Amino acid sequence: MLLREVPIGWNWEVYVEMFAAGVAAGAFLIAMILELYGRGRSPIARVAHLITLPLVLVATALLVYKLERSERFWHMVIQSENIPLPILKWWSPISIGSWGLMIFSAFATISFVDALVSRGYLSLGPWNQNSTLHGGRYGIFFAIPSIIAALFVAGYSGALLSVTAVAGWEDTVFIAPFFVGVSVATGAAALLLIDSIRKLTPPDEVEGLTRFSTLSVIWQLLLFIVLAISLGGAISHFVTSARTILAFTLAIIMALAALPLLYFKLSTSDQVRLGTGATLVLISGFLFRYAVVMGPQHEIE
Amino acid sequence: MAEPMGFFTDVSVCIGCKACEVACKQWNQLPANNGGVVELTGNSYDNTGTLDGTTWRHVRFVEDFDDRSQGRWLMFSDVCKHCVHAGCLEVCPTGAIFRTEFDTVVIQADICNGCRACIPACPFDVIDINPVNNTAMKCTLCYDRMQAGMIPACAQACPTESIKFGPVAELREESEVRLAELQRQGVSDASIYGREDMLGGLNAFFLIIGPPEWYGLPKEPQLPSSRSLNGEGILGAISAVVAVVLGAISFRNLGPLRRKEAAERNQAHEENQSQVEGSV
Repeated sequence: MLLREVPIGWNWEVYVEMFAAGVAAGAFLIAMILELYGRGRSPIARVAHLITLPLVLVATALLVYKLERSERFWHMVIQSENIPLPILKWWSPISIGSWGLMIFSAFATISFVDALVSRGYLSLGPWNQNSTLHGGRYGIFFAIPSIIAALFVAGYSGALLSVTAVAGWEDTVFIAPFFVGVSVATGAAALLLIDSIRKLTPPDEVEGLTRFSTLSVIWQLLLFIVLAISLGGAISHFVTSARTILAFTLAIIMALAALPLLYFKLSTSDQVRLGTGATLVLISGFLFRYAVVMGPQHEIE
Repeated sequence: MAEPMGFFTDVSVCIGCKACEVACKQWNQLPANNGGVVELTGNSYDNTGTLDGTTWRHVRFVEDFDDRSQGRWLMFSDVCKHCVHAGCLEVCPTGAIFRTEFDTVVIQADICNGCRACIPACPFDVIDINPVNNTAMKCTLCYDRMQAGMIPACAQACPTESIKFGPVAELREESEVRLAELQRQGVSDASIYGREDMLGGLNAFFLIIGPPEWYGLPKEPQLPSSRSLNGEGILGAISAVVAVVLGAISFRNLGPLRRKEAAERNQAHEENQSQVEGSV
């Protein structure tokens, strides 16, 4: 593959957006799994409902800001020449990704409002503190499509990179699976971190979340190894600058360092330990995103 | 639909005068690079560098002097290939990129929102953002001139007829004749770049001498969909299923909580926490 001469121009806005959307997707996924277990009103689930929408809004704002003509952001989903007809190219990751993010935002908005309703901050007729969506009889019907939307958002940005004609990105089909792993690990870590500060979650749920966080970090690291192997010699396109080499190194070290902090059974000093472990996973996930997005671009520049 | 129209650019007769670059800039009212201040690239006589949002024709200078006894200086006027299967058109989420009645590929500046998806989707590194209107731009094959029955500005200006414009079918015949002639003359490494087996055929294709890499051309350009539909989505879905399974395993010990039970338990937990904090 020839090296490109024109810079792609996907910079900090893009990897920060991917990180924020990934954390949101991972946290929301956990809330929906809890919903399936009948724990839709648990403290963990409620925190996830409350953080997902703001994170998605941050991600969307960054995407809009990144457009060279931000005022035309709606051209992504509406035919500008045939308003209000929609435009969707299912074979284009950026087109279907825009729709996926929009649909995910809709689910996140409903859950966010439901979290406010369940706390009594809001009451909308039959939708009140005694009759919420999550934990109620309809929660499970909401959870299943929500899980699909969350997992789509978790992974589509990886597919977006792989379908480009950029050396490194185009040399593997494992970026999307890896990004799913990073999203889930960082989503769980975000919930653990918040819980380590708020200390509101019952021990059995913290234990479940800790277990999930540990497994997802291991899954993420396994996927990273598969990604690296699938690249073969093309991995050189990712380790093109001191910054990306450092980012990959720190990301791996932090993820590995987080495992013993998350894994061991709960004890009296749990909150600090879990908070530290969760912070390491979050930083690690951010560095992975940075290095995967910027590595091949540093080579061009 | 009118007959497919295109370019046949013949490296063997290009003299590197850059009249095509200038004519293109002039007709399309494209600004000078770097505000008109020339920065030397150090790469032969090529101080343009690349195709981009304000340079839609670019004359590349290839110096083949590894063996000085057979040294060659090749000039190659690069341009958008107007692929029959175009990666940029495939990924554009806004519909700004469309195929014209001449089978060429054009970006509509009033629809493009500058998402940049087309830039890395193009395997030929043709497209970039135009800093004047902040939209993606590239050669239109002078769509406006073609609609008026005129030939594109670059082909009009080319003094050696290195750039030929016309119906693609005729140009392909012409290119094969020219290739055979060159090979008869002993130019054994001459070849046609952009036949029908490449992305369905490039409507702007080339006669090159030497390997395509010399000219910054990929040997086997691919469509974005050929990658995305070959495993990326499936592997992503598998990873997603594993994530759900991990979640199911992790939370397997949790039984369903009734609303009242949950509220009581949360309240008890909160009271417990506040007592702990109070005692500390």
